[in-house]
Amino acid sequence: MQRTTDPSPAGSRDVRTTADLFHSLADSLDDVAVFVLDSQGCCECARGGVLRLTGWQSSELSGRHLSCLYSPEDRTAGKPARDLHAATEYGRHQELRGLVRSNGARFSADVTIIALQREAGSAHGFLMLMRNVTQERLQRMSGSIVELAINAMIMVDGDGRIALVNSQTEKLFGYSRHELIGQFIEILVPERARKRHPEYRQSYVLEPAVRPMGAGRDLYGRRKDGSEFPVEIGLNPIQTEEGLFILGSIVDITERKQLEQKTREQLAQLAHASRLTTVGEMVSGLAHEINQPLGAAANYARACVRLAKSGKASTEELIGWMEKAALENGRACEIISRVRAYVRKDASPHGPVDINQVVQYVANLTGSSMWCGREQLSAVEPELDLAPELPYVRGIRVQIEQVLVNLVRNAMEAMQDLPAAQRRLAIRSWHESGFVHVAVSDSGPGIAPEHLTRLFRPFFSTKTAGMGLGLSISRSIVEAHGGTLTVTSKLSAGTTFAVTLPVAGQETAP
Amino acid sequence: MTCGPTVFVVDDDEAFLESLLLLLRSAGYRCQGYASAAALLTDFRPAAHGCLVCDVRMPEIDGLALQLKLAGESGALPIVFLTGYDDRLTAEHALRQGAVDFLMKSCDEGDLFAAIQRALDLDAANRAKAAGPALI
Repeated sequence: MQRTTDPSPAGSRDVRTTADLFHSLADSLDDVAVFVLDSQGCCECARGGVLRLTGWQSSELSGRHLSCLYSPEDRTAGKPARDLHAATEYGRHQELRGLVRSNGARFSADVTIIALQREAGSAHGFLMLMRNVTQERLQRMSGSIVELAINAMIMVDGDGRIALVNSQTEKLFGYSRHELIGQFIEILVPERARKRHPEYRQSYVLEPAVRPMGAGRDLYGRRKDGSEFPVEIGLNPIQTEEGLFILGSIVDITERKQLEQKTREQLAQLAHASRLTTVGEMVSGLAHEINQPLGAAANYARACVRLAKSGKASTEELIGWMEKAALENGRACEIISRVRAYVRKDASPHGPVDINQVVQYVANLTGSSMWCGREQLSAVEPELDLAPELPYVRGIRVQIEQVLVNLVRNAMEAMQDLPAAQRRLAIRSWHESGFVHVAVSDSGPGIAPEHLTRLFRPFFSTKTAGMGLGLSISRSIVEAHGGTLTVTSKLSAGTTFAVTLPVAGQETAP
Repeated sequence: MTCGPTVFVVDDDEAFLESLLLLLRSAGYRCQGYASAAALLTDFRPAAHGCLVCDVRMPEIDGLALQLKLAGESGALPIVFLTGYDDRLTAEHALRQGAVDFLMKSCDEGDLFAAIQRALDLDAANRAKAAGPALI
């Protein structure tokens, strides 16, 4: 409304009538519709936010009964008449009503009806004020939804100050809501992450979306007592007239983490036991592999002793042979440390693993006869086809080694009845759409279709030796790494096992 | 033939072969080494005398197969097996097929030399037996 300065001198009487004053007052109202009704409840005059509230033009309402704004149920129940009656009785009647707009849409309004020139049992007319409270009600309702939510819910304004928390938040973090409202959200962030948090927050405000917070990062909350706990946080931007708010939904995932940790530990134990079994099965092959260099070292040393005593060799010759003895001894040591590394417990945490390096290592291990000691298995030199610049995967290296050792040994076993010339073992690695793939293929007799589906079940084996746990454990290991282990086989053509692992370091921004 | 007995050595492990030849030579034996059974068979003269020191587990033709092949030849050489595997069944099999001894690669050198000596003595005796009737 425009302000106008009154040109008349101070103290002079205004010429405007009461009706003029009423109309200009009513028209200045935006959120409120004002109606003058006759004694029957028909509209004589409608002003203010009539169109905004009801969808009717003021002129359209003129002469209509107030019941046209009531819901059909209320109309049937006789509510319009009852409201007028109550106003006549008590002079003033106020009630929250569900009303309908001209197009049938519902809205909630605070309706006040005032009887004009009341006389015993009747009124000459009524003044009706109507205020839309739908927004307020929705807000109150969403407030109680937030309050009753199972998760801790925290609403933060664009500056990062806490505007609203629910009782779960109080329980989870140990603060009362009075201690939290108005504080920066960083009060609930562990100290080590506090410094970077405002930066994350600001980047979210620039690009708000419904999404989980800190994808790929482990998030922790900090309680009032300083203790921390793992959390998962969902973020929802809420646009209001007061600007952008962010509603965070926080779940304490301590139990889930513990369960995951326990599962990981059990798998690690099982995997370790399985590696010990493998080494146990290979004892005779292992002995050969170690005896070979040890025998050679002993031969060189003994020969040198004889030749030195007899003076039949030059010092240079003797030194050369002694060096060879030392070299052979080193070879034996290397084999022992390789086996020790293979049977060590998984003390190493998850880390970046170069799959090509693992393949090379496994090819060296299995290419020698030591890994095939059981049943006079002859080693087959694997043909390697490794993609250069393969990205890292994330995982426990020794477990991934174990999977490949297992697959390569299976492939060799599958081919043992073939003539040497027909044995082909190929290991291929490649990178495709965020995953690193490794395929181990043999030219063996293939696996019968009815066996294929049962292949990964524990204790399933078509072999006479072994427990039938290798593939089952291998698949568990690969799945624990977020990957898959699959098999394709064709009778009398061969079998391929494919390991697929997600590329490491794909964590996106918080 | 004019030369003395030769110890023929077959082993596919290069370092072991070389070191064994060195040891045998340092102990005064005349030696000849081969990296595979096939290499020995190509080069081998049936008239040669001495003995064979042979690895068991080798690609293509293994020690036991070589033993069978040579058994068919006249004047077969006595064989001492030298293996990295402690495998009783294979040992029994080799001995049944006429091997002089079946030793581990990590065995004492005294045992090895004793076995080689027995093999050489056996070869000498075999040759004397074969030559004997002809002289009479």
